Amino acid sequence: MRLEIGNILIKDIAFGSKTEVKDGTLFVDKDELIEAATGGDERIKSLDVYLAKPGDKTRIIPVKDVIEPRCKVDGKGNIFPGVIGDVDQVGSGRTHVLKGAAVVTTGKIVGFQEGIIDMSGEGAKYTPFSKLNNIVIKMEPIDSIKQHEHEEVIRLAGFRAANYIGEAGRNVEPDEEKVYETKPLLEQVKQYPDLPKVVYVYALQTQGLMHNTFFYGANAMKIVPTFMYPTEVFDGAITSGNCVSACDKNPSYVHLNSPVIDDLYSRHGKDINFIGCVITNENVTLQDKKRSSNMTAKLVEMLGADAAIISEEGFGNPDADLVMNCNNLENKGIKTVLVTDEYAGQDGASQSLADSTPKGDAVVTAGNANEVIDLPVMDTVIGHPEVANIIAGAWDGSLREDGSIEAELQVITGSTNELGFFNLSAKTI
Amino acid sequence: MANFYILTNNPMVEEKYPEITEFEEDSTVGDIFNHSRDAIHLGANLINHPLAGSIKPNQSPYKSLVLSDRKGDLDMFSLTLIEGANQVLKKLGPRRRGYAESVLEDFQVIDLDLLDSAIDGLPYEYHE
Repeated sequence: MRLEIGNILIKDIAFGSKTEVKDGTLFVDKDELIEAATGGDERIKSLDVYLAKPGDKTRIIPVKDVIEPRCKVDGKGNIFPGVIGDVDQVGSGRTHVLKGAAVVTTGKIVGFQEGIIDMSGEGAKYTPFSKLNNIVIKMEPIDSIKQHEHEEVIRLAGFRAANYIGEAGRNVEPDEEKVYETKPLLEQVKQYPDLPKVVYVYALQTQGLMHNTFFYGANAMKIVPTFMYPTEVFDGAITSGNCVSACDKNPSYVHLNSPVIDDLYSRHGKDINFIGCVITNENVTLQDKKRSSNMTAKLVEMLGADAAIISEEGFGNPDADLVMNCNNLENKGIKTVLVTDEYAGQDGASQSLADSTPKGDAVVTAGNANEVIDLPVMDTVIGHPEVANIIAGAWDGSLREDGSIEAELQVITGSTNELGFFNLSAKTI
Repeated sequence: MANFYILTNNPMVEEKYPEITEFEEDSTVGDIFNHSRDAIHLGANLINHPLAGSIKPNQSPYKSLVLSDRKGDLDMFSLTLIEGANQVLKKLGPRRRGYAESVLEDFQVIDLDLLDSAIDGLPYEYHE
Protein backbone atom coordinates (compact mmCIF):
# COMPACT_ATOMS: atom_id res chain seq x y z
CA MET A 1 0.00 0.00 0.00
CA ARG A 2 1.51 3.30 -1.16
CA LEU A 3 0.34 6.70 0.03
CA GLU A 4 1.51 10.13 -1.05
CA ILE A 5 1.00 12.87 1.49
CA GLY A 6 0.98 16.41 0.14
CA ASN A 7 1.41 19.00 2.84
CA ILE A 8 -0.05 22.44 2.17
CA LEU A 9 1.63 24.69 4.72
CA ILE A 10 -0.89 26.91 6.51
CA LYS A 11 0.77 29.97 8.08
CA ASP A 12 -2.34 31.93 9.02
CA ILE A 13 -6.11 31.63 9.31
CA ALA A 14 -8.93 34.16 8.94
CA PHE A 15 -12.64 34.27 8.34
CA GLY A 16 -13.56 35.06 4.75
CA SER A 17 -16.43 34.95 2.29
CA LYS A 18 -15.22 31.63 0.86
CA THR A 19 -13.38 28.66 2.39
CA GLU A 20 -10.09 28.50 0.51
CA VAL A 21 -6.31 28.51 0.81
CA LYS A 22 -4.53 31.56 -0.63
CA ASP A 23 -0.77 32.04 -0.30
CA GLY A 24 -0.56 29.98 2.86
CA THR A 25 -3.58 31.56 4.54
CA LEU A 26 -6.64 29.44 5.21
CA PHE A 27 -9.82 31.49 4.86
CA VAL A 28 -12.95 30.04 6.41
CA ASP A 29 -16.52 30.87 5.50
CA LYS A 30 -17.91 30.81 9.00
CA ASP A 31 -21.58 30.32 8.09
CA GLU A 32 -20.84 27.49 5.71
CA LEU A 33 -18.57 25.82 8.30
CA ILE A 34 -21.28 26.07 10.96
CA GLU A 35 -23.76 24.48 8.56
CA ALA A 36 -21.34 21.70 7.60
CA ALA A 37 -20.33 20.97 11.20
CA THR A 38 -23.94 20.92 12.38
CA GLY A 39 -24.78 18.54 9.54
CA GLY A 40 -28.51 18.77 10.20
CA ASP A 41 -28.10 17.10 13.60
CA GLU A 42 -31.20 18.15 15.52
CA ARG A 43 -29.51 17.31 18.80
CA ILE A 44 -27.27 20.38 18.45
CA LYS A 45 -28.64 23.47 20.20
CA SER A 46 -25.85 25.90 19.38
CA LEU A 47 -22.60 25.75 17.46
CA ASP A 48 -20.14 28.59 17.09
CA VAL A 49 -16.68 28.97 15.61
CA TYR A 50 -13.66 30.85 16.96
CA LEU A 51 -10.10 31.23 15.73
CA ALA A 52 -7.09 30.77 18.03
CA LYS A 53 -3.64 31.46 16.59
CA PRO A 54 -0.14 30.86 17.96
CA GLY A 55 0.84 33.74 20.23
CA ASP A 56 -2.76 34.80 20.97
CA LYS A 57 -3.51 35.37 24.64
CA THR A 58 -6.20 32.73 24.37
CA ARG A 59 -7.07 29.66 26.44
CA ILE A 60 -9.26 26.85 25.08
CA ILE A 61 -10.94 24.79 27.84
CA PRO A 62 -12.22 22.06 28.00
CA VAL A 63 -10.75 20.53 24.84
CA LYS A 64 -12.42 17.37 23.52
CA ASP A 65 -10.55 16.51 20.34
CA VAL A 66 -8.05 18.05 17.94
CA ILE A 67 -8.44 17.05 14.29
CA GLU A 68 -6.30 17.83 11.26
CA PRO A 69 -8.10 18.83 8.05
CA ARG A 70 -7.23 16.47 5.21
CA CYS A 71 -8.78 15.37 1.95
CA LYS A 72 -8.39 12.38 -0.29
CA VAL A 73 -7.49 13.53 -3.80
CA ASP A 74 -6.66 10.17 -5.34
CA GLY A 75 -7.26 6.56 -4.34
CA LYS A 76 -10.13 4.78 -2.69
CA GLY A 77 -12.32 6.14 0.05
CA ASN A 78 -12.42 9.40 1.95
CA ILE A 79 -10.88 10.72 5.14
CA PHE A 80 -12.42 9.19 8.31
CA PRO A 81 -13.94 6.14 6.57
CA GLY A 82 -16.96 4.77 8.38
CA VAL A 83 -17.33 8.04 10.26
CA ILE A 84 -17.75 10.44 7.33
CA GLY A 85 -19.09 8.61 4.30
CA ASP A 86 -18.60 4.99 3.33
CA VAL A 87 -16.17 2.47 4.84
CA ASP A 88 -13.94 2.07 1.79
CA GLN A 89 -10.41 0.82 2.32
CA VAL A 90 -8.06 3.80 2.78
CA GLY A 91 -4.28 4.16 3.00
CA SER A 92 -3.33 4.31 -0.67
CA GLY A 93 -3.34 6.98 -3.35
CA ARG A 94 -2.85 10.62 -2.49
CA THR A 95 -3.95 12.74 0.44
CA HIS A 96 -3.67 16.50 0.90
CA VAL A 97 -3.10 17.93 4.37
CA LEU A 98 -3.65 21.48 5.62
CA LYS A 99 -0.47 21.32 7.71
CA GLY A 100 -0.46 23.91 10.48
CA ALA A 101 -4.25 24.08 10.85
CA ALA A 102 -6.51 22.12 13.18
CA VAL A 103 -10.10 21.82 14.28
CA VAL A 104 -10.44 21.87 18.08
CA THR A 105 -13.74 20.86 19.65
CA THR A 106 -14.90 22.27 22.97
CA GLY A 107 -18.09 22.21 25.07
CA LYS A 108 -19.10 20.50 28.26
CA ILE A 109 -19.87 16.80 28.09
CA VAL A 110 -20.04 15.80 31.71
CA GLY A 111 -19.63 17.75 34.92
CA PHE A 112 -15.96 17.07 35.36
CA GLN A 113 -13.85 18.32 32.53
CA GLU A 114 -10.33 18.54 31.36
CA GLY A 115 -8.08 19.61 28.55
CA ILE A 116 -6.45 23.02 28.25
CA ILE A 117 -4.71 24.51 25.23
CA ASP A 118 -3.04 27.88 25.90
CA MET A 119 -1.95 29.67 22.75
CA SER A 120 0.80 31.67 24.53
CA GLY A 121 2.60 31.90 27.87
CA GLU A 122 3.87 29.08 30.09
CA GLY A 123 1.08 26.64 29.17
CA ALA A 124 1.75 26.96 25.45
CA LYS A 125 5.17 25.39 25.97
CA TYR A 126 3.53 22.21 27.18
CA THR A 127 1.20 21.47 24.28
CA PRO A 128 2.00 20.82 20.62
CA PHE A 129 -1.37 22.29 19.67
CA SER A 130 -0.38 25.84 20.68
CA LYS A 131 1.74 25.94 17.52
CA LEU A 132 -1.26 25.41 15.23
CA ASN A 133 -3.80 27.75 13.69
CA ASN A 134 -6.86 26.42 15.45
CA ILE A 135 -10.44 26.61 14.30
CA VAL A 136 -12.37 26.07 17.51
CA ILE A 137 -15.85 24.54 17.37
CA LYS A 138 -17.83 25.27 20.52
CA MET A 139 -21.08 23.42 20.64
CA GLU A 140 -23.85 22.70 23.11
CA PRO A 141 -26.49 20.05 22.58
CA ILE A 142 -30.19 20.25 23.42
CA ASP A 143 -30.97 19.98 27.14
CA SER A 144 -32.67 16.57 27.13
CA ILE A 145 -29.64 14.72 25.78
CA LYS A 146 -27.87 12.07 27.90
CA GLN A 147 -24.15 11.62 28.34
CA HIS A 148 -23.59 8.91 25.69
CA GLU A 149 -25.34 10.82 22.93
CA HIS A 150 -23.73 14.08 24.00
CA GLU A 151 -20.29 12.58 23.47
CA GLU A 152 -21.27 11.25 20.05
CA VAL A 153 -22.82 14.53 18.91
CA ILE A 154 -19.73 16.60 19.67
CA ARG A 155 -17.37 13.95 18.29
CA LEU A 156 -19.15 13.73 14.93
CA ALA A 157 -19.50 17.53 14.60
CA GLY A 158 -15.69 17.78 14.86
CA PHE A 159 -15.12 15.29 12.05
CA ARG A 160 -17.69 16.98 9.83
CA ALA A 161 -15.95 20.33 10.43
CA ALA A 162 -12.50 18.91 9.65
CA ASN A 163 -13.83 17.19 6.56
CA TYR A 164 -15.39 20.41 5.29
CA ILE A 165 -12.21 22.44 5.88
CA GLY A 166 -9.97 19.70 4.45
CA GLU A 167 -11.77 20.02 1.11
CA ALA A 168 -10.17 23.48 0.74
CA GLY A 169 -6.89 21.70 0.02
CA ARG A 170 -8.19 19.55 -2.81
CA ASN A 171 -6.98 21.68 -5.74
CA VAL A 172 -4.03 23.37 -4.04
CA GLU A 173 -0.47 22.45 -5.05
CA PRO A 174 1.24 21.09 -1.88
CA ASP A 175 4.41 22.73 -0.56
CA GLU A 176 6.02 19.43 0.33
CA GLU A 177 5.44 15.78 -0.39
CA LYS A 178 6.14 12.55 1.46
CA VAL A 179 5.66 9.00 0.21
CA TYR A 180 5.01 6.06 2.54
CA GLU A 181 4.86 2.49 1.33
CA THR A 182 4.39 -0.92 2.89
CA LYS A 183 4.15 -3.92 0.58
CA PRO A 184 2.13 -7.10 1.21
CA LEU A 185 3.96 -9.07 3.91
CA LEU A 186 5.94 -11.62 1.86
CA GLU A 187 7.13 -8.94 -0.57
CA GLN A 188 7.92 -6.56 2.28
CA VAL A 189 10.03 -9.19 4.02
CA LYS A 190 11.93 -9.87 0.77
CA GLN A 191 12.60 -6.20 0.12
CA TYR A 192 15.07 -5.86 3.00
CA PRO A 193 15.93 -9.46 3.93
CA ASP A 194 18.93 -8.53 6.05
CA LEU A 195 17.26 -5.92 8.25
CA PRO A 196 15.46 -6.72 11.52
CA LYS A 197 11.71 -6.95 11.00
CA VAL A 198 9.77 -4.55 13.23
CA VAL A 199 6.03 -4.48 13.97
CA TYR A 200 4.21 -1.68 15.72
CA VAL A 201 1.68 -2.81 18.36
CA TYR A 202 -0.80 0.06 18.51
CA ALA A 203 -3.06 -0.20 21.58
CA LEU A 204 -6.31 1.75 21.45
CA GLN A 205 -8.20 2.96 24.53
CA THR A 206 -11.59 1.20 24.48
CA GLN A 207 -13.17 0.99 27.91
CA GLY A 208 -16.54 2.65 27.51
CA LEU A 209 -18.07 6.09 27.62
CA MET A 210 -15.49 8.81 26.98
CA HIS A 211 -12.85 6.07 26.73
CA ASN A 212 -13.49 4.86 23.20
CA THR A 213 -11.55 4.70 19.94
CA PHE A 214 -12.98 3.86 16.54
CA PHE A 215 -11.49 1.84 13.67
CA TYR A 216 -13.26 2.54 10.38
CA GLY A 217 -16.13 3.84 12.51
CA ALA A 218 -16.45 0.63 14.54
CA ASN A 219 -15.91 0.79 18.27
CA ALA A 220 -12.53 -0.92 18.73
CA MET A 221 -13.81 -2.35 22.03
CA LYS A 222 -15.50 -5.05 19.96
CA ILE A 223 -12.57 -6.01 17.76
CA VAL A 224 -10.03 -8.74 18.29
CA PRO A 225 -6.48 -7.58 17.46
CA THR A 226 -5.91 -7.29 13.75
CA PHE A 227 -3.34 -6.33 11.11
CA MET A 228 -3.22 -2.86 9.61
CA TYR A 229 -1.13 -1.22 6.90
CA PRO A 230 0.56 1.72 8.65
CA THR A 231 -0.62 4.18 5.97
CA GLU A 232 -4.26 3.60 6.90
CA VAL A 233 -3.96 5.88 9.94
CA PHE A 234 -2.84 8.81 7.77
CA ASP A 235 -6.29 8.72 6.13
CA GLY A 236 -8.21 8.66 9.40
CA ALA A 237 -8.84 4.91 9.83
CA ILE A 238 -8.46 5.47 13.59
CA THR A 239 -10.51 8.23 15.23
CA SER A 240 -10.68 9.28 18.86
CA GLY A 241 -13.76 9.26 21.08
CA ASN A 242 -11.59 9.76 24.10
CA CYS A 243 -12.52 12.65 26.35
CA VAL A 244 -10.59 11.92 29.52
CA SER A 245 -6.92 12.06 30.36
CA ALA A 246 -6.07 15.25 28.49
CA CYS A 247 -2.31 14.87 28.77
CA ASP A 248 -2.01 11.32 27.50
CA LYS A 249 -5.02 10.57 25.35
CA ASN A 250 -4.40 10.34 21.63
CA PRO A 251 -6.45 13.03 19.90
CA SER A 252 -7.44 12.21 16.31
CA TYR A 253 -4.74 14.69 15.18
CA VAL A 254 -2.07 12.47 16.74
CA HIS A 255 -3.44 9.30 15.12
CA LEU A 256 -3.43 11.09 11.74
CA ASN A 257 0.20 12.09 12.35
CA SER A 258 1.25 8.99 14.30
CA PRO A 259 4.82 9.85 15.29
CA VAL A 260 5.68 6.19 15.94
CA ILE A 261 4.65 5.20 12.42
CA ASP A 262 6.32 8.25 10.86
CA ASP A 263 9.59 7.53 12.69
CA LEU A 264 9.50 3.82 11.84
CA TYR A 265 9.11 4.76 8.16
CA SER A 266 12.07 7.14 8.42
CA ARG A 267 14.27 4.17 9.46
CA HIS A 268 12.55 1.75 7.06
CA GLY A 269 15.04 0.25 4.62
CA LYS A 270 17.97 1.83 6.49
CA ASP A 271 18.29 -0.05 9.76
CA ILE A 272 14.91 -1.79 10.08
CA ASN A 273 12.27 -3.42 7.92
CA PHE A 274 8.96 -1.97 9.17
CA ILE A 275 6.55 -4.71 8.13
CA GLY A 276 3.26 -3.42 9.57
CA CYS A 277 1.00 -2.69 12.52
CA VAL A 278 -1.09 -4.81 14.83
CA ILE A 279 -3.90 -2.84 16.43
CA THR A 280 -5.26 -4.04 19.75
CA ASN A 281 -7.59 -2.68 22.43
CA GLU A 282 -7.61 -1.87 26.16
CA ASN A 283 -10.73 -3.38 27.70
CA VAL A 284 -12.09 -3.59 31.23
CA THR A 285 -12.29 -7.29 32.03
CA LEU A 286 -9.19 -9.28 32.72
CA GLN A 287 -10.33 -12.02 30.33
CA ASP A 288 -10.59 -9.48 27.48
CA LYS A 289 -7.13 -8.20 28.34
CA LYS A 290 -5.68 -11.71 28.28
CA ARG A 291 -7.42 -12.59 25.00
CA SER A 292 -6.25 -9.41 23.29
CA SER A 293 -2.68 -9.58 24.52
CA ASN A 294 -2.37 -13.30 23.68
CA MET A 295 -3.74 -12.68 20.22
CA THR A 296 -1.49 -9.67 19.71
CA ALA A 297 1.57 -11.76 20.52
CA LYS A 298 0.37 -14.51 18.17
CA LEU A 299 -0.16 -12.05 15.28
CA VAL A 300 3.24 -10.42 15.80
CA GLU A 301 4.82 -13.89 15.82
CA MET A 302 2.92 -14.88 12.65
CA LEU A 303 4.28 -11.78 10.94
CA GLY A 304 7.76 -13.07 11.76
CA ALA A 305 8.83 -9.96 13.64
CA ASP A 306 12.17 -9.71 15.42
CA ALA A 307 11.09 -6.71 17.46
CA ALA A 308 8.03 -4.65 18.33
CA ILE A 309 7.27 -1.13 19.51
CA ILE A 310 4.28 -1.15 21.90
CA SER A 311 2.35 2.00 22.77
CA GLU A 312 -0.53 2.48 25.22
CA GLU A 313 -3.19 5.11 25.76
CA GLY A 314 -4.22 6.31 29.20
CA PHE A 315 -3.15 5.54 32.72
CA GLY A 316 -3.80 2.80 35.28
CA ASN A 317 -5.81 0.02 33.72
CA PRO A 318 -4.02 0.29 30.30
CA ASP A 319 -0.69 -0.19 32.08
CA ALA A 320 -1.84 -3.80 32.57
CA ASP A 321 -2.31 -4.22 28.79
CA LEU A 322 1.11 -2.67 28.18
CA VAL A 323 2.78 -5.07 30.60
CA MET A 324 0.89 -8.13 29.29
CA ASN A 325 1.80 -7.28 25.69
CA CYS A 326 5.43 -6.82 26.73
CA ASN A 327 5.60 -10.13 28.64
CA ASN A 328 3.83 -12.14 25.94
CA LEU A 329 6.07 -10.86 23.16
CA GLU A 330 9.31 -11.16 25.13
CA ASN A 331 8.34 -14.72 26.08
CA LYS A 332 8.19 -15.50 22.36
CA GLY A 333 11.69 -14.08 21.93
CA ILE A 334 10.50 -10.87 20.28
CA LYS A 335 12.29 -7.78 21.60
CA THR A 336 10.07 -4.94 22.76
CA VAL A 337 10.31 -1.21 23.29
CA LEU A 338 7.47 0.36 25.28
CA VAL A 339 6.20 3.93 24.95
CA THR A 340 4.32 5.42 27.91
CA ASP A 341 4.14 8.41 30.24
CA GLU A 342 4.39 8.53 34.02
CA TYR A 343 2.32 9.38 37.09
CA ALA A 344 5.20 9.57 39.48
CA GLY A 345 3.71 12.03 41.97
CA GLN A 346 4.30 15.77 42.18
CA ASP A 347 7.86 15.16 43.43
CA GLY A 348 8.49 12.48 40.79
CA ALA A 349 9.50 9.96 43.48
CA SER A 350 6.64 7.44 43.26
CA GLN A 351 6.33 4.37 41.07
CA SER A 352 5.41 5.64 37.62
CA LEU A 353 3.04 2.97 36.31
CA ALA A 354 0.27 0.92 37.92
CA ASP A 355 1.89 -2.28 36.72
CA SER A 356 5.44 -3.35 35.92
CA THR A 357 7.58 -6.17 34.56
CA PRO A 358 11.32 -6.88 34.61
CA LYS A 359 11.04 -7.69 30.90
CA GLY A 360 10.15 -4.06 30.19
CA ASP A 361 13.78 -3.01 30.10
CA ALA A 362 13.52 -0.66 27.12
CA VAL A 363 11.01 2.09 27.80
CA VAL A 364 10.53 5.54 26.32
CA THR A 365 8.74 7.98 28.63
CA ALA A 366 6.83 11.08 27.60
CA GLY A 367 7.13 12.83 30.97
CA ASN A 368 5.57 13.01 34.44
CA ALA A 369 1.91 14.05 34.30
CA ASN A 370 1.91 15.02 38.00
CA GLU A 371 4.43 17.84 37.54
CA VAL A 372 2.89 21.10 38.84
CA ILE A 373 2.70 24.07 36.48
CA ASP A 374 1.43 27.62 36.68
CA LEU A 375 -0.70 29.03 33.88
CA PRO A 376 -1.01 32.82 33.56
CA VAL A 377 -4.15 34.86 32.95
CA MET A 378 -5.34 34.99 29.34
CA ASP A 379 -7.26 37.79 27.62
CA THR A 380 -9.72 35.42 25.96
CA VAL A 381 -11.12 32.09 27.10
CA ILE A 382 -12.95 29.93 24.57
CA GLY A 383 -15.16 27.32 26.21
CA HIS A 384 -15.95 27.16 29.92
CA PRO A 385 -13.29 28.73 32.18
CA GLU A 386 -15.07 27.71 35.40
CA VAL A 387 -14.31 24.03 34.82
CA ALA A 388 -10.64 24.64 35.64
CA ASN A 389 -11.49 23.84 39.25
CA ILE A 390 -12.88 20.40 38.51
CA ILE A 391 -10.55 19.06 35.87
CA ALA A 392 -8.33 16.06 36.60
CA GLY A 393 -5.01 17.27 37.90
CA ALA A 394 -6.53 20.36 39.46
CA TRP A 395 -7.74 20.95 42.98
CA ASP A 396 -10.11 23.33 44.70
CA GLY A 397 -8.52 26.74 44.28
CA SER A 398 -6.62 25.72 41.17
CA LEU A 399 -8.46 28.47 39.36
CA ARG A 400 -7.43 31.69 41.07
CA GLU A 401 -9.66 34.77 41.22
CA ASP A 402 -7.60 36.57 38.59
CA GLY A 403 -8.08 33.67 36.14
CA SER A 404 -4.62 32.12 36.46
CA ILE A 405 -4.37 28.39 37.17
CA GLU A 406 -2.08 26.20 39.24
CA ALA A 407 -2.45 22.53 38.36
CA GLU A 408 -0.68 19.36 37.34
CA LEU A 409 0.63 18.91 33.81
CA GLN A 410 -2.15 16.38 33.17
CA VAL A 411 -4.59 19.25 32.52
CA ILE A 412 -2.78 20.21 29.32
CA THR A 413 -3.96 18.52 26.13
CA GLY A 414 -1.18 16.47 24.55
CA SER A 415 1.50 17.34 27.12
CA THR A 416 2.63 13.76 27.85
CA ASN A 417 1.23 12.10 24.75
CA GLU A 418 2.05 8.39 24.81
CA LEU A 419 2.73 8.12 21.10
CA GLY A 420 5.61 10.52 21.70
CA PHE A 421 3.99 13.30 19.70
CA PHE A 422 5.42 15.98 21.99
CA ASN A 423 8.88 16.75 23.28
CA LEU A 424 8.65 16.07 27.03
CA SER A 425 10.46 13.21 28.71
CA ALA A 426 11.80 12.31 32.15
CA LYS A 427 15.13 11.14 33.47
CA THR A 428 16.12 8.83 36.29
CA ILE A 429 18.32 10.74 38.75
CA MET B 1 -28.64 -17.78 40.14
CA ALA B 2 -25.62 -15.67 39.40
CA ASN B 3 -22.20 -17.00 40.32
CA PHE B 4 -20.63 -13.57 40.61
CA TYR B 5 -21.50 -10.31 42.32
CA ILE B 6 -20.79 -6.61 42.08
CA LEU B 7 -19.28 -4.74 45.00
CA THR B 8 -20.04 -1.05 44.59
CA ASN B 9 -20.74 2.30 46.20
CA ASN B 10 -22.49 3.56 43.07
CA PRO B 11 -26.29 3.85 43.55
CA MET B 12 -26.87 3.69 39.78
CA VAL B 13 -25.32 0.19 39.73
CA GLU B 14 -27.50 -0.93 42.64
CA GLU B 15 -30.52 0.32 40.71
CA LYS B 16 -29.63 -1.50 37.49
CA TYR B 17 -28.39 -4.79 38.98
CA PRO B 18 -30.27 -5.08 42.30
CA GLU B 19 -30.12 -8.89 42.42
CA ILE B 20 -26.37 -9.20 42.13
CA THR B 21 -25.12 -6.05 43.83
CA GLU B 22 -23.61 -5.65 47.26
CA PHE B 23 -24.19 -1.97 47.76
CA GLU B 24 -22.08 -0.10 50.29
CA GLU B 25 -23.70 3.28 50.33
CA ASP B 26 -21.21 5.31 52.30
CA SER B 27 -18.05 3.51 51.27
CA THR B 28 -15.08 5.20 49.68
CA VAL B 29 -13.16 3.83 46.72
CA GLY B 30 -10.52 2.72 49.23
CA ASP B 31 -13.16 0.78 51.18
CA ILE B 32 -14.31 -0.98 48.00
CA PHE B 33 -10.70 -1.90 47.22
CA ASN B 34 -10.15 -3.20 50.76
CA HIS B 35 -13.37 -5.22 50.90
CA SER B 36 -12.57 -6.74 47.49
CA ARG B 37 -9.10 -7.63 48.70
CA ASP B 38 -10.68 -9.39 51.69
CA ALA B 39 -12.98 -11.35 49.36
CA ILE B 40 -10.00 -12.27 47.17
CA HIS B 41 -8.18 -13.64 50.22
CA LEU B 42 -11.25 -15.83 50.81
CA GLY B 43 -10.97 -17.22 47.26
CA ALA B 44 -12.87 -14.82 45.01
CA ASN B 45 -11.51 -13.96 41.55
CA LEU B 46 -11.51 -10.37 40.36
CA ILE B 47 -13.25 -10.16 36.97
CA ASN B 48 -12.75 -6.53 35.96
CA HIS B 49 -9.62 -4.44 36.35
CA PRO B 50 -9.77 -2.35 39.54
CA LEU B 51 -8.43 0.77 37.83
CA ALA B 52 -11.13 1.84 35.44
CA GLY B 53 -10.33 3.78 32.36
CA SER B 54 -8.28 6.89 32.57
CA ILE B 55 -10.26 8.46 35.37
CA LYS B 56 -7.95 8.45 38.35
CA PRO B 57 -9.17 6.45 41.35
CA ASN B 58 -9.01 9.55 43.55
CA GLN B 59 -10.94 11.55 40.98
CA SER B 60 -14.16 9.52 40.82
CA PRO B 61 -15.88 8.82 44.15
CA TYR B 62 -17.41 5.64 42.69
CA LYS B 63 -16.05 2.17 42.11
CA SER B 64 -17.73 -1.03 41.00
CA LEU B 65 -15.84 -4.30 41.05
CA VAL B 66 -17.05 -7.66 39.76
CA LEU B 67 -16.03 -10.67 41.87
CA SER B 68 -16.68 -14.38 41.55
CA ASP B 69 -18.57 -16.26 44.28
CA ARG B 70 -15.78 -18.83 44.25
CA LYS B 71 -14.38 -19.92 47.58
CA GLY B 72 -11.07 -21.70 47.32
CA ASP B 73 -7.39 -21.08 46.76
CA LEU B 74 -6.08 -17.56 46.67
CA ASP B 75 -5.83 -16.20 43.11
CA MET B 76 -2.51 -14.37 43.11
CA PHE B 77 -3.30 -12.52 39.88
CA SER B 78 -6.40 -10.93 41.42
CA LEU B 79 -4.52 -10.11 44.60
CA THR B 80 -1.66 -8.44 42.74
CA LEU B 81 -4.11 -6.27 40.82
CA ILE B 82 -6.10 -5.12 43.83
CA GLU B 83 -2.96 -4.40 45.88
CA GLY B 84 -1.54 -2.48 42.92
CA ALA B 85 -4.72 -0.43 42.65
CA ASN B 86 -4.55 0.36 46.36
CA GLN B 87 -0.97 1.55 45.93
CA VAL B 88 -2.04 3.88 43.11
CA LEU B 89 -4.86 5.26 45.23
CA LYS B 90 -2.50 5.94 48.14
CA LYS B 91 0.04 7.56 45.86
CA LEU B 92 -2.46 9.95 44.31
CA GLY B 93 -3.79 10.98 47.71
CA PRO B 94 -7.27 12.06 48.76
CA ARG B 95 -9.34 14.77 47.12
CA ARG B 96 -10.16 17.44 49.63
CA ARG B 97 -13.46 18.68 48.32
CA GLY B 98 -16.88 17.48 47.28
CA TYR B 99 -18.62 17.59 43.93
CA ALA B 100 -21.91 19.14 42.84
CA GLU B 101 -24.85 16.74 42.42
CA SER B 102 -24.74 16.88 38.62
CA VAL B 103 -21.05 16.02 38.64
CA LEU B 104 -21.70 13.08 40.95
CA GLU B 105 -24.33 11.82 38.53
CA ASP B 106 -21.84 12.00 35.66
CA PHE B 107 -19.30 9.97 37.64
CA GLN B 108 -22.03 7.41 38.36
CA VAL B 109 -22.90 7.16 34.66
CA ILE B 110 -19.28 6.60 33.64
CA ASP B 111 -18.67 4.04 36.40
CA LEU B 112 -21.86 2.23 35.34
CA ASP B 113 -20.82 2.33 31.68
CA LEU B 114 -17.44 0.78 32.41
CA LEU B 115 -19.18 -1.84 34.56
CA ASP B 116 -21.65 -2.56 31.73
CA SER B 117 -18.64 -3.16 29.46
CA ALA B 118 -17.40 -5.71 32.00
CA ILE B 119 -20.78 -7.44 32.31
CA ASP B 120 -21.06 -7.56 28.48
CA GLY B 121 -17.64 -9.15 28.31
CA LEU B 122 -18.21 -11.57 31.16
CA PRO B 123 -16.25 -14.82 30.77
CA TYR B 124 -18.47 -17.81 29.84
CA GLU B 125 -17.94 -19.51 33.17
CA TYR B 126 -20.03 -16.77 34.77
CA HIS B 127 -23.78 -16.36 34.43
CA GLU B 128 -26.42 -14.05 35.82
